[in-house]
Amino acid sequence: MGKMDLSRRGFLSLSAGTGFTLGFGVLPALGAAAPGFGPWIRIAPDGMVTALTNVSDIGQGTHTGLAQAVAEELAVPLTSVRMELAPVEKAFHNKSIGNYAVYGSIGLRTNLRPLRLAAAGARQMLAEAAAARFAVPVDQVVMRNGQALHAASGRSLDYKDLLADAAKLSPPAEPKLTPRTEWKVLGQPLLRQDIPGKVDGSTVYGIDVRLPGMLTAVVTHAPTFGGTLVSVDEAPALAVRGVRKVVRLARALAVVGDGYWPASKGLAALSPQWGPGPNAGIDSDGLSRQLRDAAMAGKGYSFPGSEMPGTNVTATAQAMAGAAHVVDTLFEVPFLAHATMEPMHCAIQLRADGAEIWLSTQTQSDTQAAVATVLGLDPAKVKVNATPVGGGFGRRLEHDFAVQAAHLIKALAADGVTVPVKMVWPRETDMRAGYYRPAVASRVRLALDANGMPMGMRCDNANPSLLEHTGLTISGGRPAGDWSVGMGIVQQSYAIPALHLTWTRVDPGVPVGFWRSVGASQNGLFLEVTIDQAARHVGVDPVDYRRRLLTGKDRALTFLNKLAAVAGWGRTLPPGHALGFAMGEANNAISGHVVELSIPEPGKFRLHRIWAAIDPGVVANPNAVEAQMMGGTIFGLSAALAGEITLKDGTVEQSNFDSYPLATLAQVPPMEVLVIGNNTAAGGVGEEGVPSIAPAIANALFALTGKPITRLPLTRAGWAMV
Amino acid sequence: MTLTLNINGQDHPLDIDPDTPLLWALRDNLGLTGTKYGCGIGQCGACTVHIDGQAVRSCAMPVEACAAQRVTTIEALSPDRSHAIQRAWIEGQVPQCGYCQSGMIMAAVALLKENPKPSDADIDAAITNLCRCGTYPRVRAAIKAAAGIAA
Ligand code: FES
Ligand code: FES
Repeated sequence: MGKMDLSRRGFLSLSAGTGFTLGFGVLPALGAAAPGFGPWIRIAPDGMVTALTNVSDIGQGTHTGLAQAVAEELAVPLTSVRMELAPVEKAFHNKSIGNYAVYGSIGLRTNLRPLRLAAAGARQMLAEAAAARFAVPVDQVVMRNGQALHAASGRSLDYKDLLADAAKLSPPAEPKLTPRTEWKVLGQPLLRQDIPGKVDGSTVYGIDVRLPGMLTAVVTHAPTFGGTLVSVDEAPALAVRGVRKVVRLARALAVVGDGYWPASKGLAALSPQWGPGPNAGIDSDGLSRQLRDAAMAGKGYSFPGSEMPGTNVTATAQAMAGAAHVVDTLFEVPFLAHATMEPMHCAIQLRADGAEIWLSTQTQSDTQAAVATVLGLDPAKVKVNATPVGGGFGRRLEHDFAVQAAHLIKALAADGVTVPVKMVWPRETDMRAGYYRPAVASRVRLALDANGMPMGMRCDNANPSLLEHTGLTISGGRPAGDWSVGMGIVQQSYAIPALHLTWTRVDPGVPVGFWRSVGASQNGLFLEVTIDQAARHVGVDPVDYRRRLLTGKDRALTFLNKLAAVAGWGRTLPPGHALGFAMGEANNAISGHVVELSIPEPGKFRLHRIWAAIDPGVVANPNAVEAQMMGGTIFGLSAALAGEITLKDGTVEQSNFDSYPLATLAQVPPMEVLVIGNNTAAGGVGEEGVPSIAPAIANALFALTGKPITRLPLTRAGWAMV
Repeated sequence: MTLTLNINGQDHPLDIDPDTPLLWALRDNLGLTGTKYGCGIGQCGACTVHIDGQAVRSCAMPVEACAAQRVTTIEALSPDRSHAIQRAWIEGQVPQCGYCQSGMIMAAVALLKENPKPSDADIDAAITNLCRCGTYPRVRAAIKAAAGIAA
């Protein structure tokens, strides 16, 4: 790929070295309209359009959605557009987040509009160039299918023949976007561009990377977080055919061999002695008590309104004091692993003047900087090759595995090894390596007035500090309050006039991290189970109760009504069946679920059907949005049913899919997804399916039993799905 | 020790330990990385290949046990993604991250070979592969589409 010349102020430039190719550089003119991102589009001599992006597609179809946007605005067929990841260089960082990463459903949210503007600007310039050639006013030129047409004279010009002329024009100050009513490509359920390579095994994920002379390293960690390697007799591993080296890392042990199997066989042959470290006492039962006690005590950091929008400590205290009734519930949820299907890995090669890495990642620039630090290099000397990703869900926002690969190659280099090494974590290492969704206890109190309407809500949370553990760019600078505590609780449309949030840091030393939907993954349960209890207290149907709370909130109310309608809320159900409802708002999107379930025998429930709905604002590709909603729902279902990471004597008890079960095909009932687009700003899609499935199930169980679900996974609450 | 594996219609003499799981022979010795590692203990199905037409989890299959058999991997399902299941997978937009999909597809192909018109219960029983991205509803729909069963 040719390097962009970012120093040029001009919009269009003929870029050297790639022949007749236009580089649409960072647009000063687009500065105001596109604050986050400098869009880059190239049109090759054959008319193929390459658009750069700084968000990885980690399986959501983001790149196809962006390609659709470019195709739409540039008036070319989708098959003429391909997305390419921009180089991991400062100039290409995503300005809305200050680095180069993808998380928090930011893909379309940060890249869609700038790319549309860039493509629309390019189309206008090509149109002007065509108008000059036709010697007609520009408004007589129609752009279609990669051609400029002049209908009256029947003349046409291909874009490729207009590139040189267009390059001489100045960019429009405000490119005109194609109105939604005229969209032909954007917003359509078109086939994803990445899928063909995923049905014939040809897509090369990070773990598949093969380099000349490459060795494979397999790693195991100290069994406790912070434990250290005391001693190991290397001989049994070195006796295994195909094993080359044993490498002692600070808290881990690696065996390097000709391939994964010899290396893992070598690792299995070792009996390392580990020092327990400071966290050997962690025990889930004790931690659970600690979290619950801290939540009940409620003595944590009080978020001021300046940090947590909508919070007001005094008003909430007044509401509690004057309440006719308080719905008061203590909730608890466990640590959860991401369990991406592709385990963590990183291939690395040292070069004379730098290093190169190949990996599946969500966080290119932080990884680059961290690897550079280990190797004593300037970040610019670390070339990051971000491959297609076998699942992210937030785990690949961390770079612990890339840092480990850097330490490994450094140790090997000191030992005379010069070939590239691919480090791979066995599933067991991956599952026990931490960066889990934090375990949380939260006491939620909802004050109701005499009519049963909310006056205020107080949430006392106890959990580890997510932000301090991850150490990523996006986490920094919040020593006192951890904003993830409020996700899915603050900025909801429900009429809850006063809110008070506290956070007590209870941090046993287990690394925690961002897990698909982050704080909303637990707060969705806390809030929605609380709302259903309030509705029951006043004897109102839970959906009707929410309608009251959403009076005047048109977008949320419309959403609720559409979801309720598609699920047939209020219809006569088969005997013993109940519906459960839950919704929530995050990332400028609204999402929710209705489930229908029954209880065939005590402690066992059957899930008959799931309805999911999402309003992500702009719908770039309804088919991909539907897939994300299904996927998020099933991700949340796995957590709700049986997902938990527990520790005994400082050691994680789960290690593979036999002890950390995921929902299976047979467990997932028929599911219907409603995609609502209301054409406001682009919202999130990737995380939105997760938070509301557990509370929808909980609320259906509540409807049948009258007992609220206050703990996940459901197995801990005494429920198994059959 | 040298043993010969028949992979995708070709004999490959390999100098590897006989206890090497087929998965790693495919990925590391033959460069056939379409077959994936997910768990290594037969739980997830990401490593599913066909041995004499049957779906087998290759992480739990030592190469010595398949020396005399015909192994087919995702790469050889069709030369051009034209297998009915592959077409149904594209048409139905099944994959998300795609990492589990080689195994899913191999399991689905084996199912339809045995049972050209599977019921929902048959699909439940046969497709025990794990997908963290949650593609199951589309997996089910695509199997039915490939089998010519109305959804
Ligand atoms: S890798 Fe073989 S079943 Fe999971
Ligand atoms: S598509 Fe990602 S694991 Fe199945």
